[in-house]
Amino acid sequence: MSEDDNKPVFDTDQQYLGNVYGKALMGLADKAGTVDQMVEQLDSFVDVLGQIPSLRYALESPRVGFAEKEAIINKAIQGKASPDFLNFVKVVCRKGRADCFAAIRDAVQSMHDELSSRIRATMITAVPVDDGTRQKVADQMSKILGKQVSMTTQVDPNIIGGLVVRIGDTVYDGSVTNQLNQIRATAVGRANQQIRQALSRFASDA
Amino acid sequence: MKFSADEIASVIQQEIDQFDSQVDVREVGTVLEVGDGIARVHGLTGVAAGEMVEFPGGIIGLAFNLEENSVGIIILGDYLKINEGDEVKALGTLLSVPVGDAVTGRVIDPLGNPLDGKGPIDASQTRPVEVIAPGVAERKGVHEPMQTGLKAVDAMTPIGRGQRELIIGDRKTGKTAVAIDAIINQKNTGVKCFYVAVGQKDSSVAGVIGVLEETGAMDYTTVIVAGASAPAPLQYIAPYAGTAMAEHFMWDGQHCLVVYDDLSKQAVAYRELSLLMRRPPGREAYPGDVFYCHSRLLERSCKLSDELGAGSITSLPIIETLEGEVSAYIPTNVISITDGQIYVQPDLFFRGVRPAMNAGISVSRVGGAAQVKAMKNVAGGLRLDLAAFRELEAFAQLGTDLDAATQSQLDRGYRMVELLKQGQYKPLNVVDQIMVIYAGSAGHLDKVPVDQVQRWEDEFLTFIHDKKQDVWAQLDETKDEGDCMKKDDHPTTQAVKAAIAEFNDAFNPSFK
Repeated sequence: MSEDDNKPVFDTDQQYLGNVYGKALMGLADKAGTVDQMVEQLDSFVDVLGQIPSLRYALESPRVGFAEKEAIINKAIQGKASPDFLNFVKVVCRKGRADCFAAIRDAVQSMHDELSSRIRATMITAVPVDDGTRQKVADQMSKILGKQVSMTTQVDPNIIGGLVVRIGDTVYDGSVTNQLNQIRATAVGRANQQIRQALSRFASDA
Repeated sequence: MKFSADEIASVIQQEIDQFDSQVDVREVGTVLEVGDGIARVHGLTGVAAGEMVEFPGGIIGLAFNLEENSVGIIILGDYLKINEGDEVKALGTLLSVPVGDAVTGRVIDPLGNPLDGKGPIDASQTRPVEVIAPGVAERKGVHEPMQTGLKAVDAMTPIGRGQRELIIGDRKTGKTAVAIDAIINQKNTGVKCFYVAVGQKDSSVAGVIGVLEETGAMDYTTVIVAGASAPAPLQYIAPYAGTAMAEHFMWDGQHCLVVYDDLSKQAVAYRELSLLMRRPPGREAYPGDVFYCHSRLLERSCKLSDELGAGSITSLPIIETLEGEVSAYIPTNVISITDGQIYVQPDLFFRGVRPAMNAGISVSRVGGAAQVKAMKNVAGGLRLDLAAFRELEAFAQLGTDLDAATQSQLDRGYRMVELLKQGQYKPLNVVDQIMVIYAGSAGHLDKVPVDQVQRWEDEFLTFIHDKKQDVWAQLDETKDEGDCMKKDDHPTTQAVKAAIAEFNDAFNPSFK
């Protein structure tokens, strides 16, 4: 069960909804000039939903009436959230899209990153690395890409060694596994060719 | 055969020493769902339409549908080996196939993998499978004949190099047989042949390959197979792959013949892919661009201009109709694309007229421009004779007494129909065809009983080849002259007439 939680789930319908609501929220925040706070609030709200499943079920359930949901939301975050954000949460619940908060958070995060010229990257290594190394790699990538790179790390012993950096859909693969595969492919291919061209050198009729 | 392990090890060690490691940059995506030959992938944001992608295990796919948050990919291989969550890599190239002399004489699948067990395909060049057809300025009109070796076709619906001639008919009426005879007849002409089998039974294809090998046609033929059990994406791209291989020779100034057997099954495979990809279905559930699917394939068969080498690709697409319904969607589409049709009909087939071509409705839009002059002269009368005969055939059934003129026309017609029948895998040289058709249309067969006509033809041709080689050679040399076989005072006409007369004297009609 825990392994399934770690695998990312892709739901393109949710992604689309997340984009729609995320855009609305960003527009609102932009006008009010409170983008950073809004993003932070959304982030922590989604974390809270993750930590308290009963709250999430209550908001998502179609059997709970909207008035009740509004009351729950008020009790939960009023006073700790800005009025705009509070309204946003209520609107999402009223539209019956309370299950999309995670997708909305993803969309808002990527929009925010784009606005502030930031890129999220993942660094995969065979053994855990310390923060200093991680920062060095992040700085190097920032220099190459011209944008600020915020790096998260992952450990995958299957790569044996070296470094794999994933930014969005592009993977920069410098892992040992990949190099071994490359060597194997070229060496076997060229040896094959050479053997076929000069068979007598390699074989004898015995 | 004993392999020297030391030598092989030294070669591999050399490769490892020379290896220069580089960071591999690739665009990736994750498989969301896979099944029925297609996959939906999340990610791959920079992929282009038609771009090649690679699944783990080396399976290739093509990006077919670019949607907002996912990419629909058709899998050119075994989709059962792909799992949800697999990483998909974009290769940044369009699909290409190996081309050149390495594929001649081989049996391969649409990706270029060998299927005949004769070793790998060592092609030095590849060509993209999808290209835009040559434009108007790059072409020349069709003016050279492409002899199929079938009297009925070469006389009445002649095919030229660079033409697309559709062979259309019901199942089991001899469509593939016409195409195979055309391939066999290209021996010693320098024409490279390609037989693309789409959705056919593997046993039928094996039979075809057997015939081609027996007749020595495999030396200049490539067979591309995407059988009935092949995944739909492979069936869909097979004709394009075959055309790409032929284009290599065309741009080199050579001539090619491509047979697509058959395009109805390719349309069905394309329909399957489009419906699985949720593209909106149109008439008969085919996608809206099924016309484009066939037109962009057939437009690539052309005759190039002299500046570009004057090469050509002639194509013989085959379409199977259901119950003679030529006004169905796909048949009408392909009829409007091609430069003519050969209709084969089941009633003619079962009556014994084989090839079962209906000369009345079959047409070649290039026609006389692609016909040897001598053949044009003798065949002119043939079409008219047959047309008149068909009109009168109904009278004959009434059993009434007919006047002499009508009766003679009927008799002539029976003999011409008999003359046009031909055995399978026995294509005739054009000189033989000219002589035989001249004999029929000039009335030299009027005294021969109808059931003896085929025997007459066989023995006449044997006679010519054994005893009258000089007449044959004379006709061969003069067949391109405008008056040859047209006027009675032309020397060749007289020579042929004399030879026929000599043979008729010796021919005994009652000898069975």
